[in-house]
Amino acid sequence: MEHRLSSLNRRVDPIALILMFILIIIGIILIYSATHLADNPAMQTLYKTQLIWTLVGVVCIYIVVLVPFRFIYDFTYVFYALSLCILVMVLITGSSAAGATRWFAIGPIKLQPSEFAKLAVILALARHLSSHPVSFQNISSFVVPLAILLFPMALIVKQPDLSTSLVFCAVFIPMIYWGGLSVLELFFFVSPVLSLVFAFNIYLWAGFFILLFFLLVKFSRNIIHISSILTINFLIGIVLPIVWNRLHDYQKSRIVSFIDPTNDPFGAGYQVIQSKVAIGSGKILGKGFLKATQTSLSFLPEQHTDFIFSVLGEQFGFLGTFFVLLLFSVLIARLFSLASENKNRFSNLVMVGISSQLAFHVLINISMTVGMMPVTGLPLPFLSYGGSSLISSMILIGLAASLRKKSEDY
Amino acid sequence: MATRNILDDQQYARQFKSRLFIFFWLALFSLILLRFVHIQIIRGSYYSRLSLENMMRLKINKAPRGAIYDRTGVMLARERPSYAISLLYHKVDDQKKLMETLMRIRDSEGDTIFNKRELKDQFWRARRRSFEPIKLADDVPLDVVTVVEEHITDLPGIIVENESRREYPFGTLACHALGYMGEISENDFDSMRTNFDYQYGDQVGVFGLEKQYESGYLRGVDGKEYVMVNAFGREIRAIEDMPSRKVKKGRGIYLTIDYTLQKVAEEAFPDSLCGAVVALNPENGDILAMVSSPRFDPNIFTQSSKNRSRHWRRLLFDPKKPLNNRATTGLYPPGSTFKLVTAAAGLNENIIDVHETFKPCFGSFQFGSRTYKCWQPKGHGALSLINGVQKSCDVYFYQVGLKTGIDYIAQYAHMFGFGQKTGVDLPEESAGEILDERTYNEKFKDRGWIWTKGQILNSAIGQGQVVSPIQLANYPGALVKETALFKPHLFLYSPRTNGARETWKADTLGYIDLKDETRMILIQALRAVIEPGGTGGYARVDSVDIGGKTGTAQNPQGNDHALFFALGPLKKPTIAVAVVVENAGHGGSVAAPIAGKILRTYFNKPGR
Repeated sequence: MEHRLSSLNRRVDPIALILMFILIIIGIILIYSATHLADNPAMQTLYKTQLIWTLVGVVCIYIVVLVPFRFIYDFTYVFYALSLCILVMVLITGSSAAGATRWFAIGPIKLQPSEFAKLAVILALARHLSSHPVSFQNISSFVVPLAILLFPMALIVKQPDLSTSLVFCAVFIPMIYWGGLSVLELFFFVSPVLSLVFAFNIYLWAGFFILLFFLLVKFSRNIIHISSILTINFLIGIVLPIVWNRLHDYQKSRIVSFIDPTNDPFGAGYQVIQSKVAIGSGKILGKGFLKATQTSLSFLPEQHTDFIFSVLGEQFGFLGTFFVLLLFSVLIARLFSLASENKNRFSNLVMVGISSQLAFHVLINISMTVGMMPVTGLPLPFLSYGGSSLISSMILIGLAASLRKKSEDY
Repeated sequence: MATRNILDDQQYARQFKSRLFIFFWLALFSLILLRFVHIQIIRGSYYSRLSLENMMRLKINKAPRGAIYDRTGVMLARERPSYAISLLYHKVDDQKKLMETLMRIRDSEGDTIFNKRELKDQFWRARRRSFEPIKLADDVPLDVVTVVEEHITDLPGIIVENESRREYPFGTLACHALGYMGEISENDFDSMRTNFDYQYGDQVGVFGLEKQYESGYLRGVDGKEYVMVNAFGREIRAIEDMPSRKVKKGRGIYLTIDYTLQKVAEEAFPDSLCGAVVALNPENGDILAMVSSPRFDPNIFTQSSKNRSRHWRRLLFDPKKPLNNRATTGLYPPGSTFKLVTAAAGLNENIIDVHETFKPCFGSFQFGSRTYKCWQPKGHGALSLINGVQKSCDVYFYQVGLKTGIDYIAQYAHMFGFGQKTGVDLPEESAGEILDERTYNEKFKDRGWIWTKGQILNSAIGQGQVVSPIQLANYPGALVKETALFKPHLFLYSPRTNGARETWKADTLGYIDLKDETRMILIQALRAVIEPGGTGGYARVDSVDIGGKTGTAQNPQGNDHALFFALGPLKKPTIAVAVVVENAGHGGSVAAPIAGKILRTYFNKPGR
């Protein structure tokens, strides 16, 4: 036992783990301050529940750390297939019950299968890319990675949970960059998405299209590549807006509400305003612990889950937000830097995927609380209340913090 | 060995890529950090203010309105508790079900309280202000409130609110003097809110004393305090360091009205007839009773809006116009009651002598090409002034008028307060009209009528002028007493917060310039009217020296109006009564008995 513990200590990266635990403790404090005045007595003890989830998470990390590298590598595809099955099952069982189908209940524990699907996709992509680099010279090299991405994504979009499926993209792009694409190729690869963004302004899009054209002509010799990329961009930039304008209002609103289900000026708009008021009114030093008026008078809906960062901003001011932002940036920078310390391509890819996923969650959630991003259902890792999110985030850190040492052992 | 397939990452490549990621990540994070600098440091004060406004709500505690009492302390207007059913929309879970449940509620008469269309409107409004209570029904009867309270758990979002409403315990008693309440009109609201601190939906006096003494006396000062509320609008506690204001009840006023006298006057006046009664004290202008018939119940204006509109329409379109205060705004030809003005003018200017008998009365008087009739076709024979007044002989006064001239008649009429507002403390009053040669020509210029001497004859007997009942009550005192003509008033005093009384400041309309001899003759004449042989015998009071004068005003639109005034004791009158009964014939037979009942009550000599 003595030997086991000391070996465990050697197996993980202590910096990442310590940062993670600091964040979790801050999260529990914030959950307490957000719910201690709640009308519902069950709400007032949520911080205790979060503490229990943390303990469960620690056990999970312990298990993850002990799992040998070989095992992870060998069972990657099995794990991937398993999570696909779960997604399908959720769709089927969920379809009979009305409402959201994101949850999968096992007894009292509600699981979000999409959390596991994210990890499965990262592992599967890493395993494939680690032995099959992608390249524009060989278009067929994209087939398998895209398939790995699109199957679970399609299942989750059907749930529907667009923000979670966007997480897959946020993971996919850095991973294929690591997996062989150059920066320029990556630019060509994501150009259709950029076209979609620029399509709102025809001059902006035209400028982008001309830039794209020159870059393609200068750096690519393959006429098929050039023409196909330009065609796709043209279709998105010109044809899509025309089609969009032809649509009836109710059709548009259907599409908009599909893309952003919380697109409700009264609901989500209210949340963002109250969140900004909460954060802004914290000023530099904050209103003080448990002295937050916005929070304790429940002006903020979902304050202990998705909007936990506003609870922080109101009570601890800019100093508090700066400190937590710093913790997150150091943690994620640390994870990215871990990816470069080893020549093992599989473990590096997994770490890139994990870091990107956490980074995306953090970015989207925090920007949402200050109105830089639309309101989505993405929780803030480690800080938001919720077992599923906390445990899966902890597993991700546990994996990332131990992979380097694992692959060294291997 | 599958793992053998893993490629190696080249050191430089992986370090470059990792650094690129970190750089990219930190760049994005700096953007977010800048946003936080902007929100928390640059705009911090702005959001801080917003958060204060968010949690604070200005809570208005409605001040009770001041009560109105009669001069003996009988409460004529007070506040009563009432209940409103309101909706807090954010608590509603199933709007359709709630609406259906509400529509099933019935009052004791079996009528539904809510109808679907109104409910839909109200719910729509409530949805936009979901944290404020929106009134669904006001002044709900107690039995309905009980039903709602019992089923409040089945009615999520519904609350019962306490309000305070104006109540007039004696219903129609003195309704025209008291006036009534109404909601502030849209036009007035903006100026009233800024100047007088009114809230939307507040009731305000719109008629009578309720309007006259609205500010300063009846309306209190609403309390104001800032309370901390949570997002659901629930009060947590008051915020101490914010400015606040205590509720101040309206001071209330005591009226010169005498409840008993008012009641007797109203009972004496036939309900089926229109007209007015004013009783006042000539010594100071205190109005002891003021009746305008038909009366209305001012309580209906403070009932639920549903009842209100129903009654309001009925009152508004009633041909008898019950909402008019005839005592101050009704204008009638004074008829023979005016003869004392003619007599006073002639006597005081030494134009006629008290014993002077003109051409005897044979039922009519020939002037120019026209014959002017006396009311008594049989004629009165030759009369001196006392008998001329006692019998109210028209022919006698035609001749007094002709001799005195219109200028003096008009001058004395103005002196006695006719043709101008008395300045009574009510918002509604008419001035009436006294015509002389100049004003007549001016008035009828468009029609091409020109003053003729024959007009003097009509003026002398009170045809051609119009006066209000309150003027008619105010002037008899001036005929017999030496003091000034006072401004009649209803305000007696108002208690100050320190216990002292703010009393009415006596105000005069003018001084009466009558010689003592004139006055003595007028007293005799007035007395003779009441005594046997006079036209006003019905107003007699045992052992009290009463004087009066009857009048029958010709009415081109219908039957003659009956008029009468009386005062007593004649030496030092403390009460003067004027009665006008529309379309009722002779003043002596219809109006004088009403005055008699009032006088007998006043002098505490009931009977007859």
